[in-house]
Amino acid sequence: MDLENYTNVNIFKKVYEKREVSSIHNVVEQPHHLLKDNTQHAKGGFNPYVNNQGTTVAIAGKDFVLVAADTRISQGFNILSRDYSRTTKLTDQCVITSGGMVADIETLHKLLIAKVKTYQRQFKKTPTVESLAQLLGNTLYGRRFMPYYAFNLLCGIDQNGQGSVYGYDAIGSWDKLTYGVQGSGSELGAPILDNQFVGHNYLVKTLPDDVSVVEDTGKDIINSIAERDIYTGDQVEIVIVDKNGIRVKREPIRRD
Amino acid sequence: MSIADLQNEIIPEVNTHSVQTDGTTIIAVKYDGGILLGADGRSANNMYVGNKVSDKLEPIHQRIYCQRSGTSSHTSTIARYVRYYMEIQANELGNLPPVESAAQVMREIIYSNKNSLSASMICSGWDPYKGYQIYQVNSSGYFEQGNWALSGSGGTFIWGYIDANYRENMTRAECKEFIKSCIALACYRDSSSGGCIRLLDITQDRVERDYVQYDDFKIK
Repeated sequence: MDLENYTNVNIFKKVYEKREVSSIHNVVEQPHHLLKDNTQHAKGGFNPYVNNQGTTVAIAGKDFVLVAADTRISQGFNILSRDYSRTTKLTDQCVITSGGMVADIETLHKLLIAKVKTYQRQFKKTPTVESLAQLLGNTLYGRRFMPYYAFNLLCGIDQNGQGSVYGYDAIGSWDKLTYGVQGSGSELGAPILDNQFVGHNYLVKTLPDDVSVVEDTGKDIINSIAERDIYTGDQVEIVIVDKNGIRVKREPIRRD
Repeated sequence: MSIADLQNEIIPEVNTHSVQTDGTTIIAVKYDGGILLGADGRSANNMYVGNKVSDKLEPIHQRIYCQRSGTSSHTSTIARYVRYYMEIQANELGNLPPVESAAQVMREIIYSNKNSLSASMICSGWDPYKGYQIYQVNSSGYFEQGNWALSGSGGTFIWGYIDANYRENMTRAECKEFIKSCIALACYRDSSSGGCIRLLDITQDRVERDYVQYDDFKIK
């Protein structure tokens, strides 16, 4: 008799294979733009994920944090919306901005807003950015085997009044950054940010630290990405968080 | 091990993610006394825009031009072959080659290699035998003559617009505006079309190019 089939390990293995968990591994471990479109349904397997693309950039300053994001969402070569806001206010001192699948992004943002409210009721205070950073990490890892297809940047003013940015992958690995970029234009945006805010490849370093200069640089970066990335465009949305609160403004960019 | 096995082993799998494609909008329209060709300027590798001002209007002979959509390397090679055959035919005839011949050669190349090609092209121009002609050669190796032709990924977005707005015997100015708006609209909706508009006017006496930069696109 073939005993192997009667051990628990193998029974588990079979179930594991049948549920095609391997496709979720693909989602997490492949670069997200290689994720195939939702064409699997007819063959029997259903791929619940789709990438709606879009780019978002966040930059932490001395006493502010700035988010610059585009407002386009796409599915394949179709443009679904030209004025979608991928940035959500969580507290007066904190916003979250994401790229990836809009359905998951919206769900995640709503869940975080709810969690902030629960926190306020329980502890009679607003959560700090550090707390929210850990909370978001836990929330994402809680869905390790059916992840939110969202690539996040959590931005806010910390307890010392300094701007901070936290960057995440889809399953909750996170790190504190001084600037970050997520979404379809991340490969195009990262070297520009390195150049502008660390001074990589500079001969004479003059790093911007004033809000208005950083704002212009943020706009320029999204505009530059829109030139070369087919999924980024339409409008650039600027969100500035500082001690006075949150300001939002928009500007039109390439629409082709 | 047979030679076929060896070849299978040596030939690497083509990495389709880094192939430059003209995710294009191309259009050819007959007007009163000529043909106008239009194309957008975007060539992309998957999601990266490799060229914002690429030229998808390629000369075949003095009064015959083709427009390319599909994989750039495939279509430009096909155009080169067609150009070569048309040169030979022109020498044999001692006159301008027929547009139909160019389209037929193009069709034959695509048909006999259709398993390995991704190419959908338009061949149009003027000859002394049948006058102005537009041939659309699709990727399955079939060609069709018509008063206008449309191809590329952006084409799907403007079929209705063309059905509603195309008229026979437009003037050159009308036709130019028509093509400009067609391509601007396709660029607006199709994320793999954009950049600029290139136009080419073919008449019996001359061929003339025109260019519209992105800032001058008119959607409405």
